[in-house]
Amino acid sequence: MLSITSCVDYLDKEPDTELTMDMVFENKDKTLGALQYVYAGLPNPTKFIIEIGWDTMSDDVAENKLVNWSPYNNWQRVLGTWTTSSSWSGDFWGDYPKRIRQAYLFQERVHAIDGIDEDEVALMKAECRFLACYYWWNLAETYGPVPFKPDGVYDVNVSLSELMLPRTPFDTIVNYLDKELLAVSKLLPAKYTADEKYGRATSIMCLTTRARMLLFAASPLVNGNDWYSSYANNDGTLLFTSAYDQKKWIKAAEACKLVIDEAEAAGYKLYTVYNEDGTVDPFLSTQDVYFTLPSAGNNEITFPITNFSTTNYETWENLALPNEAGGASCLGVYQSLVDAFFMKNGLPAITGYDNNSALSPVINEVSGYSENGFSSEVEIRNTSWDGGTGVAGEITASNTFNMYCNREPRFYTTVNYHGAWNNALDRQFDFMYKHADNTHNWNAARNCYLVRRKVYPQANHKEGIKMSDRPEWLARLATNYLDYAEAINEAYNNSVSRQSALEYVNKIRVRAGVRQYTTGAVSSDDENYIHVDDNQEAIRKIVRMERRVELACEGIRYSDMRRWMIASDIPEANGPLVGLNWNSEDSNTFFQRTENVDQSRVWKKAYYWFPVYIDEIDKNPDLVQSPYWE
Amino acid sequence: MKKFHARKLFIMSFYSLVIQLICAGSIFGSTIVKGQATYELELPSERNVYSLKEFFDLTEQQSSFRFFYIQGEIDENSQINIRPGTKDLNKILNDIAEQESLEFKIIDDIIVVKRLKDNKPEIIPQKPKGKTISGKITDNEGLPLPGVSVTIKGTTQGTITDVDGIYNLSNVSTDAVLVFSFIGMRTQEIPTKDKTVIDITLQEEAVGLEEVVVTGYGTQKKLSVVGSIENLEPKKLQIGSTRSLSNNLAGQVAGVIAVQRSGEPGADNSSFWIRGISTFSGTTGPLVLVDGIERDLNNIDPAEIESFSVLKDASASAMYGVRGANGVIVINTKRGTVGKPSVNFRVEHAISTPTKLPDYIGAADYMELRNELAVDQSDLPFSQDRIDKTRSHYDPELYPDVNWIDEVTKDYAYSTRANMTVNGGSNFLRYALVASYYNEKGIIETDNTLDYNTGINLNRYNMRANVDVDITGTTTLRLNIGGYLQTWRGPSYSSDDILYRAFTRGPYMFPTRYSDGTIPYENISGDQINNPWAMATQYGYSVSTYSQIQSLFSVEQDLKMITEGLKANVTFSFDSYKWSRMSRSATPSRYSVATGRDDEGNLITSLLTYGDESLGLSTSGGYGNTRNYLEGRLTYRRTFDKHDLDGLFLYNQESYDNGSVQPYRKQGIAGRMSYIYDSRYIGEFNFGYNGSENFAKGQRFGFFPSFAIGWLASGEQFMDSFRNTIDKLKFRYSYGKVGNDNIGGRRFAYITTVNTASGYQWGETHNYYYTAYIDGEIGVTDLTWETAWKSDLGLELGLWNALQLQVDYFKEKRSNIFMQRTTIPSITGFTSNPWANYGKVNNQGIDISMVYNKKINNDWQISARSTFTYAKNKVIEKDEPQGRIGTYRALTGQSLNTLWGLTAERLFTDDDFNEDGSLKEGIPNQLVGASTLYPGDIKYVDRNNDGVVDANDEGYIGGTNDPKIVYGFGANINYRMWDFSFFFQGMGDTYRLIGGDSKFIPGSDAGGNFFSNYRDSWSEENPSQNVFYPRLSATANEQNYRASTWWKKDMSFLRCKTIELGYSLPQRIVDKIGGKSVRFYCSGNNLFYFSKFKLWDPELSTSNGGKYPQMRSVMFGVDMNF
Repeated sequence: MLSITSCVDYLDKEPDTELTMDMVFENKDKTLGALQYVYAGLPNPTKFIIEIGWDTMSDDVAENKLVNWSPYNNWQRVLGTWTTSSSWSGDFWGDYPKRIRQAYLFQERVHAIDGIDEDEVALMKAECRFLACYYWWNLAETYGPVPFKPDGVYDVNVSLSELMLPRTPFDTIVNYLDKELLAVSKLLPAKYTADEKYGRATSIMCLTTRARMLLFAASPLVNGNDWYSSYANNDGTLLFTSAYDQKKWIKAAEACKLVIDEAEAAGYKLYTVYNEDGTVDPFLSTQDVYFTLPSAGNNEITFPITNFSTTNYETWENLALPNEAGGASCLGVYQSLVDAFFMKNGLPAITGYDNNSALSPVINEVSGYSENGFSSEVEIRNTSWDGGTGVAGEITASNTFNMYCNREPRFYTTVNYHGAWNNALDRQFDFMYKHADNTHNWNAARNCYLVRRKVYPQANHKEGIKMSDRPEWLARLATNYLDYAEAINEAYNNSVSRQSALEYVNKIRVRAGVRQYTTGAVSSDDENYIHVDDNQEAIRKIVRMERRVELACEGIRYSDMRRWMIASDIPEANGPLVGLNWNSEDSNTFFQRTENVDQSRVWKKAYYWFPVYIDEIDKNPDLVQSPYWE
Repeated sequence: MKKFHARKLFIMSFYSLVIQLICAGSIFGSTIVKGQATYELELPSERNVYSLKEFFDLTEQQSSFRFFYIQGEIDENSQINIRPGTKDLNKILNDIAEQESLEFKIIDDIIVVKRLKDNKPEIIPQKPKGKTISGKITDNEGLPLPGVSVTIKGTTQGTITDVDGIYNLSNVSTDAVLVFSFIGMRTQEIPTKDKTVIDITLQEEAVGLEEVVVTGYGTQKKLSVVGSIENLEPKKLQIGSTRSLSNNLAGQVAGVIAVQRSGEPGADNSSFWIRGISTFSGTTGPLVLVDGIERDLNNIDPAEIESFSVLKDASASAMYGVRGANGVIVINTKRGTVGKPSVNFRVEHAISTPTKLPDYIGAADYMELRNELAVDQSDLPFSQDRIDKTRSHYDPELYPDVNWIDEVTKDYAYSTRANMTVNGGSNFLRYALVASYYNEKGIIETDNTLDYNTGINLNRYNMRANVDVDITGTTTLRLNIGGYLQTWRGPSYSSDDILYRAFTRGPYMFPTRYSDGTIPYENISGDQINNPWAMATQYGYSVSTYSQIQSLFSVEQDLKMITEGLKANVTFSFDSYKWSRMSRSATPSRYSVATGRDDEGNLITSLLTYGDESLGLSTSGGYGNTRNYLEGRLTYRRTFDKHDLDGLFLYNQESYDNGSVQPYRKQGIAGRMSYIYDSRYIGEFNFGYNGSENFAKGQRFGFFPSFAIGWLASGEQFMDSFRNTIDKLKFRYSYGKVGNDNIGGRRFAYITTVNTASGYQWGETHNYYYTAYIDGEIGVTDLTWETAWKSDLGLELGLWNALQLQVDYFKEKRSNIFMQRTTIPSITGFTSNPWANYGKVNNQGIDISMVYNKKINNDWQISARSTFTYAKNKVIEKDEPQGRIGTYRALTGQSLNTLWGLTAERLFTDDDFNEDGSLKEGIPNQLVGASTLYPGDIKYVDRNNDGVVDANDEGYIGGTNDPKIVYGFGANINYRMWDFSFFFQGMGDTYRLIGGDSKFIPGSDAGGNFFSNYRDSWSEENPSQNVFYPRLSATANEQNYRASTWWKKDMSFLRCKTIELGYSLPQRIVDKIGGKSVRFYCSGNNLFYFSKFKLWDPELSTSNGGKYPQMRSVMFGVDMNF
């Protein structure tokens, strides 16, 4: 009845054509799929609101706390209830090592097949090397010194104890990645012309990653900071260098300059829209840079992110749109971001806060800034931007609260304030208590601001009007410029370096429509220049101010807050959210700086680094927790 | 000569004739000539020697009898002696049969002649001829007992009684002893002496010493069983009104832990474990075999069951090897017995109502509480006017007061069960036919104004035909065909969903439906479906159909020609299961909540959403599976003097195909050898050698040995003097190894897989997307099954011929538990962690069963029984992070499924706070939910002493949902024609974390219903620690609702499972209507329970009560035998 062999083989899995990794690499599409897995760890900037939270954890973008969606778990991180068991949707610790492992395995497995020639194989390998570096750096930037094993993958049969890697000193990681990124950059082109290659790693992405890493590594948090002088592995290996090293700034400055030179040589440049008279239109420039694809002339993007899902733009835009336009109307900005924008004359509106409270701004009287009263007439500027009142050239309507009057163009393209114009609804925003844009609920602007940057002017989700084909990035040339400006000022404390810094800050300011800086003697009402003292401190200050507003809402501020070790001194990062009074419809009390105590933030010293999730600490006895975390 | 030809003609088709006769059912069972046909021959008086042929011819000339035989098989010229003067054909045939080793069968007027195969004439012993003895055998009620075996002790000669209980046994010597035996009756031995008529009344066995119990792959005499095997009378499973057999297990079988977590028709199966849970991987439930095939316990009707055995220890289950670790339940379906068709007909109808529904407060109280809790007392959520009007039912449409639980449920549901069993047969063919019907309706509300019915309605039809045919004297064929069809209809939304919504929908919001027929609806925080009544009644319905065919074909060959007691058996079976679903959904139009009435008194509402009241149709072709099974077995059972030998050896293979890439396969051999000396000393060895496809060659097969020893001390001579007190005393011990290959999700664990993932998109407009392929599960070649070493020490004690006590202590060590590693640091980047055989769990406990049977006098009889099971497991080793082991966060050292949460110390009091509301120095800050703490909030323990309470202070807090103790007790009392029985069942050491939901605490989330015990809470007026709820608050307060010991509730209970009163009609009335017995009965099931937990039935798996409850039912039935 049954032959002996059929009995013996009865339990064998019958042959079928189940996919193996070997088969994947014999197929072009599947090989590209395997490569895309490695790419897919690159963070989509939309995740900087909810999942990863760089925007909402900085003092850029403020969510309404009444929003209690489960994916939005960043409240713990801002309200001071962050613990080592708080989950984090970004979860670099869990995700990036998988991407890295697959990046290494990809290099072992990929080979030339029909449709993928040797050159392409070489490129793909280089891309994987770059991506592995990127992920390693993001791990280190987030968690500090991580267990670092850049030279291959663990075998399946390795013993558990071999997997228990301790942390690797921060500088060791940075030094390795510095060399590796530089090497890989030489294997990659600076730009792709074919659309199917847009988004693939370029030498510019590679060098940008390197420059930004070296900038971080030269920054005060990890350069000359004694906080971590005794932070060590169990075996005593020190993980941070506490001595200050000037060379780190030099290295950073050189790396930043290298990107700029290579990028400009390859045709990258600031996106600028001009008026008919040939002058820069700063409103359209700083608004449309977020909506213009390279093929439409935006050559500014040095680190594009092309990964896309239907929720990308919707998340940001939807959260920021008023209810009436189908939005959730709950994504605002911090008062301190409002305060950070310059006046239209290029001078800072406020210079700081008394008592470390955003309720008490130190007003820069010479700037013309005022928090009293309302404008008496429509303000007109030379622009074809019609986002001020619906009429091109009109920036603010009459009867606008003075806090919002006479500000620089970027303010208007970044913030929706009470009285700002919404093109889609063809009306002004009204954030008074239970007025059109304040339901006094979770879907209302908690401190009477909504973010405007990256929100398509005509977007109306209720009507299905969305801007889906927009560019996304982790860095643009402006980022590189400002990185360089910062680094070069620190690298060499001399006039030459300061001129270099100013050169690049000014490029940004020209495009933004504000006066440039000069160390030369100019009168305070000079049409083109503002005087700045020729010292390192003064330049540092203006560079930081410029970064604050130019790079707002791009996921960079959180890193800057940490690098500069200023987080605990930022009133709204370590205190109540401030804005106008959302409980009021009386203009006497509405137009007042008001604290939202229940949305009070806490910044602890430990927060400068992410904690390693407690389970991971539990698993690995050789892994020490991030500094100042229990 | 003409006749000779006729004879010859028939001779050729002898066997086909026999088969025809069998099919026609007119078969004589005995191998000796039956006596009905008395015919006298006239033979020449002087002659006494004939040839066979001459005798045949003579007989055919003189009578209408014709002889048939196979030419060549019989020597026609053989000389026979016939005593002169003998006339009785029967006697002559008997004589000839004895002399020539022939067999005659008279079938009507045909006499079939056969040569007995072995020359040893076994039928008619080589003894001095004896007398014929006859008699009638009855039971103690005087009813005739068919099928009783009557044998002459020490021989194989014997017969069985016919349908009237009559037997005839010839050739019995005067010194013979007759043995009368019948399953379930006490065997009697009667010396014949000079008697020719022996009538016997057999007594029912008091929990039979001679009882045969079903064990793994066979049966054993209960006396000789040394494994831990629990038998349950199928009758005990035929109680209550529930569909599912598993719901009757708890408390009935020592060693079985069963919990019924829902009462919803079709979804009310209990979860059950044998001796608890011993692994954290894969399935933990036992292997359930119906007629030897892995089948579902729940879809078999109790009427189909002949025996129900639970194999608990290693010696009982080792033969199942790689599948036996979690214990085995062996169910055999009914088989035919010899006799006239006996018909049992049973009908019962039950009316049921929930054991307990959550009790919510009304709308006026609800609103008052919300007002009370409002933070801003100047801005109350509800006006007093509204509350007053609600309370006075001023206008229930504008001021509704809805008890949603009442609105979505009916008060009563009904169920009906009908069984018909027909059983009978002859020695050649025996059959058992069962047909069952079960119908159950649910309590979810329906809308009678609709043309269709959405109510829960479950129908199940079971059928079974089991036939045994003896195709030769030594060959038996068995054919089982069984199956069921079950249809379930119910509302589009699941009842759990509906009941949960009823829990979350406040009583004041809107009525179920306005008088103009419109359905109100309110959109609360994005919750789109918020009229629970509409969910229950207005969204259409779906019908699910489940069907299964179960078949089994086996051939059993007695190999006594090789050696006495040897049998071979080949079994083949296939099952096929199918499931499909048809949905007919509708959507009602929904209106806004009425804001008032217009001048004409009409409600002011507006249409929010157009619905589609027509029924849509969608079907899912569903799911199916097939299973086939092949088994070959050899058994050997023989008694030599004082030595009893019992052996078994088998091969089996199984293939189960559920549409997965490949069928699931299993294969193995198993064996048993048992030896009993003098019915006192018992030794047994079992083994399984089998494999699982999950593992690589070389790791696949395992050897699972076990042994058991027993000593029947009561059989010793020195016990004779205590016989009246201790009628049974047995000690037994078993030890062995069993395995478990049911490892959960991973198949072919030795093969590396590829996973797919989301890719990236390249291109400015994201046009270049590919599915990503990455390394998946890592194939590990040395993986194997998990191993259980089980030991069992048992004591069986019988006292006063009335009380039977069985106590087992068991201990199990499970190791090599198959699991996915969890301690691999994420930084290594494995896409999925490798699997490994890792982990150890110990499980130990005790199970006790006690049975008491006493016939007080002819009128009164009483029996009582009780079981108790305690099982406690402990994780000895689990793949837990190094840093956790030894802390409150480690499962190692705890029981599996131990509850997890914070440890609540007490409620905060005023003394804990400073003037400004901050916590006093030294009190750990509580970072678990609330930004501001108040007196009356739960104070948690800072378990890691870091000065704050946060998620890291969560840990194991003891207790499990699954009970550690299950017990039951009950009694039967018979008085004349009346019988009364009851059964209680209980569980202990079982806990549940309730709440955990922002809506759970009264007041804390707009929308949720409030339990009626809402006043049992901390308040400023009642700052008591001894309250059910902590401080109530206007909005959800995670500080108070998150999982902690505060919400860990003791869910132990004692339930009155059944109370039954029966009346059997007196025999004289039954006789008149031609029946054998008629019994009417009435029973109450789940009538009441005792529990410390009051909010809902403690057995339900719910943390908020929004779950289809267990049902309490009253049932009427009649049971008739013909």
